[in-house]
Amino acid sequence: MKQFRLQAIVCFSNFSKGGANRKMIKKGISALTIVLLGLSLILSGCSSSTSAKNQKVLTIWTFTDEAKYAVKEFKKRYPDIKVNLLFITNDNYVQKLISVLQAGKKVPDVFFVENTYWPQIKQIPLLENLSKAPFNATQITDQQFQYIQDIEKDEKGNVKGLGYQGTPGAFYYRRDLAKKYLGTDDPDEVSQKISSWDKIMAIGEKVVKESGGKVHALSSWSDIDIVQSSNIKKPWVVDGKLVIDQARRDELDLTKKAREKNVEAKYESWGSAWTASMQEGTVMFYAEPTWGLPYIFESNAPKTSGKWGLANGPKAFSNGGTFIAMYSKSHHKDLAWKFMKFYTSDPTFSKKLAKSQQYFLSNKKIDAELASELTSDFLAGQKYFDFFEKAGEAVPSAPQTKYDNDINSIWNSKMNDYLNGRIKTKAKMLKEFRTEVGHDFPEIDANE
Amino acid sequence: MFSKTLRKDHYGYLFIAPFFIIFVIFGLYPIVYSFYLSLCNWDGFGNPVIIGFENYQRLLGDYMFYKSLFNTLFIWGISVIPQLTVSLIIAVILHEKFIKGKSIFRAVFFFPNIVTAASLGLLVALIFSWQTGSFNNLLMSLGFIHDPVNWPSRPYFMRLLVSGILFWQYFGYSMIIYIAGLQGISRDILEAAEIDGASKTQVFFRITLPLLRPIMIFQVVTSIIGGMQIFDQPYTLTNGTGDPNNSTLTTVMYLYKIAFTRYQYGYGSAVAFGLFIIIVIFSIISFVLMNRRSKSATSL
Repeated sequence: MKQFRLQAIVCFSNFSKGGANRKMIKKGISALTIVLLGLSLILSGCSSSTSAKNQKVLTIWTFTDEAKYAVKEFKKRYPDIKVNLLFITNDNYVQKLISVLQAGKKVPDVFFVENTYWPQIKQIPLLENLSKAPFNATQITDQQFQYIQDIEKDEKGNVKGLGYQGTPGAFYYRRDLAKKYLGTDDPDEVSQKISSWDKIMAIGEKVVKESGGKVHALSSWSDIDIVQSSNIKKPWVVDGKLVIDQARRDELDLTKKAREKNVEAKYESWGSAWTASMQEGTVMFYAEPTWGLPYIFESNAPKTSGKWGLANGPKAFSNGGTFIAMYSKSHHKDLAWKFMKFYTSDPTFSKKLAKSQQYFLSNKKIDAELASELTSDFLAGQKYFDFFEKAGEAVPSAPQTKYDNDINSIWNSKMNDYLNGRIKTKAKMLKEFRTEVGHDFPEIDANE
Repeated sequence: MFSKTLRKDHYGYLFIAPFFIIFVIFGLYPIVYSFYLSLCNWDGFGNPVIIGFENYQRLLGDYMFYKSLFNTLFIWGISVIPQLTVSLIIAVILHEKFIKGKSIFRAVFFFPNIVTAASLGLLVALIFSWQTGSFNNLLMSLGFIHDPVNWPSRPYFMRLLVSGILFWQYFGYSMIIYIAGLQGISRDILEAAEIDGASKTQVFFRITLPLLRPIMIFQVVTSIIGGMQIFDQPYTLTNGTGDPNNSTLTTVMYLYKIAFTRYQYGYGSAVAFGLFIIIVIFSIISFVLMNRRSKSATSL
């Protein structure tokens, strides 16, 4: 390197003499060329040495930490396969992924996609159809919850990705608050008491009154949204026309009522006030899926271990989930499939994952095997696998479209405006929503 | 005589080549290509389909584009007026002989300019957040309000907030430019005015301000070009949404949203060219103004 710098300096100093000595310049240039040639030799040496080993390399892209554990275990099982795991933060993961797919260069063999973006990604024709041979993914998906099977398939019914995670939801509740205001902290009894939105509203009004405005039944309007949006019958777009499902219309009324009667605490979902409330005990119920246990509650409120329970709310629901897909032009489809199969159906690994990471699986057969033995101290000893396994069977299949993420964000923005009072009436909110969807997607007929 | 000594070596081209090579690759090519894209319909997969001027037609009737332009001009206007006046006042004060520690003040006022725009947006978003923002907490502890105010849901307040960030970030930069301009004013004129018995205010309005005009026009032109491209601050402030009701959605944010979250590259390119034309118009206006000034100055 030092030599290179010296040569460069010599070269430039020669130039600066105004070309007085051309021989010197030529010498400088040739020296520079030699140095560059040398460098390129060294670099090409690097690549040839790796190819000499002829080790198979599987490239995986992920946005989630979870992949690290899985890859570690995968490497233990298959030491001859080298895995090149690239971790990209969630903020711009999808944009990067779509960019490489568009460019067709350096595309990973396997990539992780979060459920928010999955409907959009799964319709890209560059994803391998896993239904056909030699993969025959239905053998794996047959063991999964029905709603996950439906998400994995594209419009034609072909499996385009495999979900390893089971994501049925629950109403996580604070046992101390439930005992104080509902007189019981038993999961079944609590489930009975919150089996309809009307009951939750009534509890909310009571709790706010008795606590002097300190405690609320729900954390934010998202607790209603998460349940309602999981229970839609029709997706946002049907035959090129915008459809607002009855479940979403009901959501408008429910959230408005919850806001006006102080049933919800007005926290911004995932905001700092929201996470702090878990520790402080100012909210009774949070509607969250399986992964909420390690990623939301245990991580944000570690000191409240043993104070929580799981109950069924008004309706079954699910939220989130990650899917692994394969690039259809990958040169390592065999390796890619090995990894996907390992992550989603290997019994030994799955059980280890479930036990050590508190990870509820998409594979209901394995979940059921573990249901009787797995308990959580954080949930005061509740058998949470048993709970979620039953909840998962009841989760309805909410139809999806590639527009979901974009239209959801417009919906959420208008919902906030409606609840915060900028938009005064429900009719006006729906009108503004339709206008914006029609504007952003001219191909969708957004008129009523 | 000259022709004998004039060296006609072509080495000069070598020295200017890096700029042109980089400009062609990273400047010219993308410009030409995005114009081509603006005539196409393309989601990034497959080949772009040429659809003529359909995207431009859509642009002309696009209320959101006009709204984003209004947002941009509003945010820019509200930030640039105090920015240019406050920085002028500070520059004049710091230019006075009797001020001690000038360089420290200059540095301190310039500091906000060094802070990354994105982190500023995040910081302000935290300060003004609804339930936990320190601004609400301050107002509540002082007893001005009883319940936290939902600042992020107020369109005009959020626009003003973006203006505020821009003002805070750029007044130091404008100040430095003004100071440079002030140092360019000949001491002779100022001394002559003093000898003629002009007061400080007279000197400021009759001598300093007129002589600073070219600097001011420079500031306005550069701030127009920069102001039309506001992105980072409102983007991080609103988590990329431009909420509430798209009131902080600037034109560049809109362009980003269309091209890189909706993947409508063709229409996104058309928006970019729409913005380009508007910047050109504003620049022409300010150049005309500047020429008029210099002509009238020379006629004096």
